[in-house]
Parts: sequence; C-alpha cells; structure tokens
Amino acid sequence: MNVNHTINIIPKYFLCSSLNLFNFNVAIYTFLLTLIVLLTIYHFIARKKLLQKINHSQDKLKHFQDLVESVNAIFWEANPENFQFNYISPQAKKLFGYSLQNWIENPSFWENHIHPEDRKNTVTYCQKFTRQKLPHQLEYRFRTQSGKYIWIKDLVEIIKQDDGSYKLVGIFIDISRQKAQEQVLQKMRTQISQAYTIIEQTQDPMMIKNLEGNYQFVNKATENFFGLPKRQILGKSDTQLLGEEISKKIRLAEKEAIDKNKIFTQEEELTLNDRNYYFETSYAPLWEQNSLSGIISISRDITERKKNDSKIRESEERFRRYFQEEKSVKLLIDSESGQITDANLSAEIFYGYDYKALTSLSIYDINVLPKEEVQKEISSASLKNKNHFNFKHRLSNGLIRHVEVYSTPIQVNEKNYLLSTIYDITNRVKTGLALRESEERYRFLTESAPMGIMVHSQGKIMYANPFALDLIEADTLESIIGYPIKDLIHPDYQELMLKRIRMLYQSDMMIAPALDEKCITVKGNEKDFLISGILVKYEGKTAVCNVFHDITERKVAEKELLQTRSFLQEAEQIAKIGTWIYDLINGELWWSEGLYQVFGRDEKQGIPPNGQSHQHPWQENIHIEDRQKVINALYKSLEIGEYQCEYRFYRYDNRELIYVYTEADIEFDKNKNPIRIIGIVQDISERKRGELELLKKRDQLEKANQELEELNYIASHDLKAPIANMQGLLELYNLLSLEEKPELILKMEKTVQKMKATLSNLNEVISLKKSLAETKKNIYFDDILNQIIASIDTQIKTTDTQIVSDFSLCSTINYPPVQLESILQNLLTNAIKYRRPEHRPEIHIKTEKTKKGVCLSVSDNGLGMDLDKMRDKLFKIFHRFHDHVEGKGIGLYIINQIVQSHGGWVDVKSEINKGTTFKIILNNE
Amino acid sequence: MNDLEILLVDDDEITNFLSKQILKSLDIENIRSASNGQEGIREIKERCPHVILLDIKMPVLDGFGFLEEKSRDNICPKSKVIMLSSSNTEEEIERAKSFESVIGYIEKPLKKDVLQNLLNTL
Repeated sequence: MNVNHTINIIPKYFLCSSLNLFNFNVAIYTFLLTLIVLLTIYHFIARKKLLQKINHSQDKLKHFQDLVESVNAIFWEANPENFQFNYISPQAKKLFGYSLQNWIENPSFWENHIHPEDRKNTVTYCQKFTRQKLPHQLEYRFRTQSGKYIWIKDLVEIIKQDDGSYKLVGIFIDISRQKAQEQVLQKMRTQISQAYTIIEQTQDPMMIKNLEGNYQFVNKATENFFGLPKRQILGKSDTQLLGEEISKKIRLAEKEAIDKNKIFTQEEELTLNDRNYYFETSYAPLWEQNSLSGIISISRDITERKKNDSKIRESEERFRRYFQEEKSVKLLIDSESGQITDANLSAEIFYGYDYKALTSLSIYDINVLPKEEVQKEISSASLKNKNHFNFKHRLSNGLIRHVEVYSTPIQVNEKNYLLSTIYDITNRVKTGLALRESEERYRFLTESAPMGIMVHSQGKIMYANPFALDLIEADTLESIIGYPIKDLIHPDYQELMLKRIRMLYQSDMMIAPALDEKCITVKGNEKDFLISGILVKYEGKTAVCNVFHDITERKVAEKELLQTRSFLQEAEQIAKIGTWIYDLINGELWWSEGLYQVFGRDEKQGIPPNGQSHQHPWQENIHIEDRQKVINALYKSLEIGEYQCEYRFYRYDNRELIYVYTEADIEFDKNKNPIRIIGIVQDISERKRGELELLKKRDQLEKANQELEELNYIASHDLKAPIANMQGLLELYNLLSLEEKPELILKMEKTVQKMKATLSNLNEVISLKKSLAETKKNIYFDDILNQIIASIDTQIKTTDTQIVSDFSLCSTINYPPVQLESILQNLLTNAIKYRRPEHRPEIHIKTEKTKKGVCLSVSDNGLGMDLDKMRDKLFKIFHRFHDHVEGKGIGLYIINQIVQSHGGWVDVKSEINKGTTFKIILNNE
Repeated sequence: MNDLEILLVDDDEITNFLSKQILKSLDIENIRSASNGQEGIREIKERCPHVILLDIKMPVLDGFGFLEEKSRDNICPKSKVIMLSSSNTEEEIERAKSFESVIGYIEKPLKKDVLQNLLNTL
C-alpha cells in the first residue's frame, strides 16, 4: 500500500492546481528569459560580424540561428517608430499562415491582424512602453490566415544600436493552449473552491485519515469539535485524541468500510472535555489512482437528537406517572372515526367538558387543524411512524392551547385505539422556549441576526426578531404578535405585497426576491425597506418569513444623488459643458448627460455605453488634424496631472463639426500611479467661429490697408511725378528763348499724356475691384481663349506667335468670365510683349484638376525674369520689369487680385532668356 | 566750366531733360544719363562720375537696387549720390540715408539753388 502518498484530498487538489500553474509560469519565464538572452547574443554577434573574425563562432551562430528557428516561438525585429517589421523568423508562416513578405512589406500588417477588441489597448500599450524605451510583454489575439484567432504572448525588448537608434526585437509565443488550459483550470478552481467552501462551512466534522489512522485533513467543524487548531490535529490518531475505547470502535467501522468497499455508518458515543457526545459517523474508503490511500469520514452530531429521545422517554415515564396519578390529560381515541371514547378526570378539567360531553366529541372537534390533516396524523401514529405531535386544541371556552401529544396505538377487542397523553405547552411556546433544541438554535440565529426577520401567516404577525422590532418600532414581541401585516405596509404598496404573497403561495419558487417597499411602523413613521420573502412552516402552519433591511437612508441618498445629478445636468446645459470620468484601472468610462448634449448621441450604436470599457470610437470623431494633438495631450497629462486641449469634433448625431475645449484632472494613488481622469468638455464653437470670423476680418482689413498704402504710394509717386515735371518745365519755359520754346511745349504735352495714362490705369484698377463681385458661370477654356486670340489677332500675327493649348484634362471651370478673360489676356499679352528678340514666341496653355482646384498654366519662351530680385515686387501695382516696351505695370497686379479673391494663388517660375511659366491655381471651389 | 562729372539715372526722359537744363545753367556740361538702375550700373562700371542723380522708382532695377549693387560690389565708392524722386515718404528717405554714398534727397522738381547747395558741400 502506498502509505506515503496519502495526503488530504482537498488541499492536495489545490496544491496541485496552483503548483502546476506556478511551475508553468516559472518554466515559461525561464524559457523566455533564456530566449531573450539568446536573441540578444544572436543579435550582438550578427551586428559585430564576429563570425568573420572567429572561425568557430560561425558554428556557434549557426547553432543560435538553428535554435532561434527551431524553437516554438517566433522572433521578430521592427522599427519602433511605426512598428514595421524588418525581420520575422520563418516559423511565423507555420503558425499564422501568412507569407513572411506580408509582415515585412505591409507597414500596418501586425496592427491590422490583432483582434479588434484587443487592438487599441495592445497598440497603445506597446507605443507607450516603446516611447519610454522599456521592455514589455503583451497578450492578445491574432488573426491567422485561416481567419481563426489565436492567443499569443508578445515579449518586446528595445535594443539600442551602435548608431544610437533603437530597434524593437521580440518574440511571439503561441499561448492558445495555455489560455485554454487556464480557462479549464479556472473553472476547476472555482468548482473546487465551491466544494471547499461547503466542506469548510458544514457543521459536520469531516476528516481524512491515512491507513495508519493519522489525520491528514480536517475541516473547520472538526477544529471546533476538538477545540484545537488544525496543526494540532493533523498527524495525530484517534487514540491520541479520543482515547482507546472509542478508537477501537472506529477502527472496526473503518475496517468494515474498507473490506466491503462501501460506506459504513454507525452511532458513536464519546466524551470530550467532560461533555457527552453522540455522533452518527459514516466511513468510506478513499481511493487514489486505483490504490487505497485512506479513509474519509463524516460525523453528524446527534447529541441533541439523543437528548430529545431520552427526553421523550422521560416524558413517557412522566405520562405513566400522571396516568397513575390520574393527573395527566389522557384521551382514548378511536383510530378510525376519531371519536373520543374515553377520557380521565384531568382531561375533563383541561378541556372544560364533563365526561359525557367529552366522550361525545371527536378529536376533530378539539384539534384546530382540518380533519384531513388530523386523520393523516392519526394514521401515522397508528402505524407507529410517529408518536409525538404538536397541536393546538380548542377548549370548551373557545381558548386555543398549544399541546404536545404523545400517542400510542393500542388494541381493545380487535379495535384500534390511540392512547394519547396531552401536555399543555402554551406557556413554553409563548415565551419562545420551544422544545426542540434545534429550533432554539435557529431562533438564536434569527434573534441575533442583524436584519429584520418576521414571520406572518394569514395576515397576522407570528414572530419578529429584535432587529425587526426595532425596525418597525415595536416595543415588545408580545405587542405585535397578531398585528395585521397589512398595517405595516404603506397603502401604495399593499396591492404589491398581496400579489407577492399570493405568488409565494402559488409558485414553486417559494422565494420572493428582494424588492423596495414603503412601510409604516407601529408608531406611524414611513420607512423604506428592502424586503424578501420565503415560504416556511411555522408552528405547523404555512407562513411567510420576511427578511428586510432599512434602506430609508439609502433612498434619501439616492434622491439627493438624483437631485445633484439634475443640478449638474442643468448647469451643464446652461454652460454647454459635459463631464466625463475615465477609470484607468478598469477602463470604465462615464459620460454625463451634458456630454451627450455636447457630442450628440449615436442612437444606433448607443455611443458610448456608460460604464463599459473604453472601446467606443470617440477618437474617430475627432477631426483628423487634431487627433494626434489630443492623444499627445492625454499622454502628457498622465505625467503632469492635468489635461487641457482644444479640438474639433464631429457630433455623433449629425456629423456637425464643433469646437470643444476640454480640461481634466488626473487622480493618482499613493504610489503616484494615475487611477482616474475626471474632466469637462465645453462646446466653444460659437466663440471659436467668432474668433475665426474676427481673424478673417482682420486679414481683410490688413489687406485693404495694404492696398490703400499702395494706392497712396501711387498717388504720391506716379501722379506727382508728371506734376513735378510740369512744374519744372514751366519754370524753364520762362527762361528759354523763343526758338527753344516749341520743343518744351511738346515735352509738356507728353507729360500731360503720361498723367492721363496713369489716371486711366488707376481707373482700370478701381473697376477691377468692382468686377470682383461678378458672378460665376460655367465656361469653356476653349471659348475664352478663342475670344482673346481674336481680340489680339494683329499682335499675334505680326510677332508670328505660336499658341498651343491643351484643355483635355479640364475643359471647363466655374468662374466669372470677365475675370478669367482678364487673367488669360494679361498672361498672353505679357508673353508676347516680353518675347526674346529673334525668337519665334511660343506659348503653351494647359489646364488640369488638382487637389487644390483647377490649375491654369501658361508658359512662354520669352525674356524671363530674375525672380531672386523681383519676386517680392512681382504683383505690386505699377512695378515694371522691362523698359524696352510700353507697359503699365498693372497686369500681374490684376491677375493676382482676381485669383486671390477666389482663394487661389499664382506660382511663377522663370529663367532669364529661357522663358516664364505661370501656374495659376484658380480654385473653383 | 565746372569739371564735375554727373550721371543722371531716371526712366523719365522729361526729368532727365530738366536736370540737364539745370546742370547746364550751373556750368556743368559733363553729363551722362541712364534710363534705369541696371543701365546706371553699366555706366558707372565704365567710368566713375562725381555725382549721381538717382530716381527711385524705375523698371528693371530701381534706385535702391542700384544703391545695393553699387555698395555690395564696391563700385565707385567715391561717387556721391543725390536722390531725386517724386515721392518723399519717411521710409524711403531713411532707407536712402542708410547708404554712405547718399549725400542728399531732393523731391522733384529739381531746383537750381537746392542742387547748387548740395554740390557745394562736396
């Protein structure tokens, strides 16, 4: 027999499971640590190219490589910036199914194949630790090529490279089996722990002994019985603990159980600490892996029952004594008809009838129970199944007495009778001294329970424990016995109560679940109770036992909370503010009603479901340009303890873009770890739009100012210049001789003409400003170009200019026609005007659609300009870049003004003596 | 006859004509003219004048462009410049004065006595 193997079954189970898990984890960690070391060495060796220097290290490396590629784990290397893989060991193909190229070539391959529920947390976690250059490990589900998800453990190291940059190296390990095992183990552990709880909590001592008779396991009840802690019991034998005599009996019982290989039960009497105990103990052999390892036994304390039995015997003696003395109440009852056939004097006195009257009654007239029930009891007494009853008997004066009845069947002249002795126990019942000790124990429990317990039947209270009396403000138990239960219930709740009681009686459940009910105490005060009910037998009657707590304070608190909440709601609504709380420990997110007002509510998706983990796509509704800013601010907040950010957000309900301002405080625990973020979000769209409008207005004003300054300059220069010249000429006129004067007149005329030209140019500019308000039309570039070519036909022909146009990529545009004509005409005439001498002018016109709008490009092969010098003056009014031909210096100014008024712009590229290209983003949006 | 050599740089031929008349009345006959800054640079590279009458707003290369190139390439550092412009904004006057060679700023039309006073300071 395997004696050494006999360990207590329950703790051993525990030990096994936790030990296995522990060993498993240790094994995995040791394994992984080794792998990381190997990987690092492998990496190190590979980097240093030691293999070229040391011959035998090549074998070593090969060894490592073989090792790396043969272990059941996948190694990878990735860029820490974007998690793009640049190496993954070949086993990945086997485990995941994807070809290795997929991993390397697709930058978001890894992220995209993480289980959607794990993705966000995994990526965020990985990013966080990578940023902090800390090694970390993750467990998540990953999709294989077949579409199945497998659990993997991902161990990540950050390695600093020779050039100071970092790289991520890591290992994937398939932990699907481990996960599955964990689940099974967890389930087993739960079951075992339930079993263990039951074993520990049962009142019956349970123990396991090895084959030598030494205790290997005992439960709490055993400890209580011996009055010793486990450690003083374990290892000892019955002889040591209980003495030789009883141990012999126990050993015999154990032998019986083992020999017959079945449960053997016996009664045992033993004395411990001067107290006498009776136990009913069952013994069973304990088998472990097909070999007998010990004995398991369960003992039920039947001391109380034994005492009762002896009490009954005492009662019988007493009955005989009473019978003899004619003092005990005695009835002889016909078992079949229930007729009282005989009665002694004590019976006459007790029931208040004379002999004749008493013997004319049947037992059914005296017992308050229905006839059927009494008949049942008579038959069980006749069959000797039961000899002791508790009844209520009615006296001649109508009073009901609690009686204890001992009945013995007897035969007289072949007729069956019951000889019953009746004891009045009314006083005992009323003072709560019930006969049975077990009941006393229950009562003790209920009496001391810190909750209200009340029993009622047929609408009347039968019992209430002190706590209940306190709750219903009753002074004594006596004062409320018989009190109508209905009077304790608030009128609004009476119907509900009746329904619940009916349900209790009718359903098989026998339990009415806890429910809030409003009650009225004996003193008339309203209270809120949480009440549950259960159907019980009480004093032979079917009754309802209620267990209840006072929740008045909780109700008040709830009401206050509701009020606070509604205050918050109101305040939030007025200020367009929402509140949120994010629990960093369990990932729960709570949004206030106000926040739903700000962000809108996605009715379909119910975003976000309050209290659930933070998986709802809140980030996705942030304007793409602001998203990173918000995330950065959140991360930073975990360090600095506060969070402030302004961002744009698309409302859930109507996708309207709103501006919000958010501010939050971070709560930290004692170890300064962030545990909670509490924040507000405010809709600042109105303010923001106002600000933007203001900024736009300011820009417009600045521009207008600038234009004014330019015009002022023109007035001070281009108009003053000819006037000054006139002045000078007039002064000279008086000094000159008659012959010289006609020449001077000519110069004066020229000056006046120049002034006129300047004025008409100014006029043109002013009318341009007006034309900027012209409405847009859908126009064909071809039409406009043909119109212009026709109007400058002579110029084109005399200069032999070649115009090549290609509007195939974009043939039409929505633009004010006069303005487009003005742009194109100015560009064309400029190109012709500033052509290179002895070169045939060539102009290429092209249109295309770009992201920013329609782009019109016009390039020539003319003189070109030195843009390094000219760029800032290019679009200024009355600035000219060539002086060999007449120019007004307003062409480019006009083009720029028009284009800018539609939100477009002009790009110029030019090279002297090669040509100029104007690219004009017309912006037709 | 005055032996001062003068260069007129102005795109406006009337201005150049008037300037020449006034210079002649001051007995200055050695006068060249250029119609923009770029031509002016070409002229002074050929020979340094004593004084340059310089307009500001000109095509191709304006007066300030001329001054910048002249000082950057250190062309005729001894030649003095008198600005002659129809505009007289503070900004332009300050900018002109920042060049060492500029000795005066005259608002058009050119007056004989003003020019004479300036030339006398040489």
